[in-house]
Amino acid sequence: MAWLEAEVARWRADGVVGDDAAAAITARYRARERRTPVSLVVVLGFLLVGVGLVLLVAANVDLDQVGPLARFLGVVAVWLALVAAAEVGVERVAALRVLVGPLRVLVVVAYGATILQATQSLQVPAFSAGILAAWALGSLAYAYAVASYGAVVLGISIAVAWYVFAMVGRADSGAGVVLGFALPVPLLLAVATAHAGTALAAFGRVWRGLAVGVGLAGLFTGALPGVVGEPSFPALAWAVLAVGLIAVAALASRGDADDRFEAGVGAGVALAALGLVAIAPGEVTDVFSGRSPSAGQVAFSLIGVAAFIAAALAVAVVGVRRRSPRITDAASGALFLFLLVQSFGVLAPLASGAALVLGLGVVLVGGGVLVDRGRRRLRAEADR
Amino acid sequence: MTRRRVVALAVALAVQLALLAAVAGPRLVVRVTGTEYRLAVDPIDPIDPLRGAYVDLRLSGLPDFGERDGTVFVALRPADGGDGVLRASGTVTEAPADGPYLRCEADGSISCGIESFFASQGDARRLGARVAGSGGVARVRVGLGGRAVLVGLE
Repeated sequence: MAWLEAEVARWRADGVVGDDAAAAITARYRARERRTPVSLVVVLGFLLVGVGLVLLVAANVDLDQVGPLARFLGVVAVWLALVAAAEVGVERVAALRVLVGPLRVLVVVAYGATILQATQSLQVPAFSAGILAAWALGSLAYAYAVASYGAVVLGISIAVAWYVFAMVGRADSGAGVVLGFALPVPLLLAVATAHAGTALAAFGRVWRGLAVGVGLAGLFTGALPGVVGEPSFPALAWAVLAVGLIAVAALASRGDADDRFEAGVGAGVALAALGLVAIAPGEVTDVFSGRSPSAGQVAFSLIGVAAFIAAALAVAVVGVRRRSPRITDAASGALFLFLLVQSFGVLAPLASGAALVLGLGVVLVGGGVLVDRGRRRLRAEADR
Repeated sequence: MTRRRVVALAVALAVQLALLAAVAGPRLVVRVTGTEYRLAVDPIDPIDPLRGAYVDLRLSGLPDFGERDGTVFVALRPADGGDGVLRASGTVTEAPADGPYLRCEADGSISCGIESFFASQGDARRLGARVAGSGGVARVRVGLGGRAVLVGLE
């Protein structure tokens, strides 16, 4: 804020803006209080309380013959007390308002502890995926009701954990994992776009970040030699893709050029993953076996690398068009990591020991410089 | 807090409670209304990072893997040695006409919803060792349609 006020004063002195315009500009912004070390300690404290609550449930302590019902009621009481504290107590006391955000995140954790305690008391079999699904859905319902950014981030994180857990458990091959990551991208982008222009626009950025993350993870995985294996296309994958494409196309048709570009990138990522799975060669040559890969394997690797690089660049441009430096940086980082992993795959059969380490070092330095230069240029374009 | 906010929070809490009921409700009904049996079981021994230590159980007399995926039924018959303990007697695709039975899901392995007995770390270790040594008996409540809930381990 001090910087802005100094700049506006300079513009007035230079005659760039008049008194009214200067006042109007400064009135559009409000100083935001920086997080102090004390508030960070408070957040850390809430996190520890949340983790402690889950660990207390997991410890299954037999407190003086307290039965499973009493333990469940105790955790429910903690959960509802935290909900009430966040909405009634802390929000009304100005001095405690800084606690509202962390407290709502703690509510999400306490709700999870309630579900974990209920399933533990009823001896629901271990590692049942439905437990995380219920936790995630309940967390998102709460996050949207109270418009809590922290709660929505945690809710989505739990949903991702459930999704990956369920998907990896059900996928017959690597193809299922690749499609499981990449095909929901259009649907997630549609959800992100639906937030635009609402009071919850910040939530849209979280969903967009998730779409970008899973899309790049899907193509990253699919382009690795030997991961996809035998092609397989489960019916659910087609359903998720179809619903996502329809939703994102409908929203993009009513949106602006940025919405349409983003929809195109989402559809492209999903279709690229489908293509990779369709053309994947069944047989795989181990990079350490000393045998040369077949022509089909080389062609698949080249197409996979080209698809990932194109997707990462397109995502970086989405970051620029959405004025979201984090997306651009994430795409750059993913591209750099991808180049490193792929170069290892190429270099490993050709060199070993010191030569391999030297080669990877050169790739690391050269690739890092190039990717960082591209990222800076994109961000400079965005700042113009 | 505005009226709109109160309504939104009430709806969210209702959704959360409904999800809680969806996860726990069916087993709670069986636990409260089901008929109790004592089943012979064998242990395996692990930990769930979010819910703690448990004894992983396998129904004695049940094959490790199902012949086909989907819903299967396990008829329960008196075990050798009597004492009121029942034992699994293989899987069938139709619910048995007479006698108690369990409804299970086969997806490679067979799961009847009574494979985990959660306890404190010390109890889980002690119970696991005892069941491994001399076999165990699970107290199970079985509701309508063969859905089962584990209520104790002897």
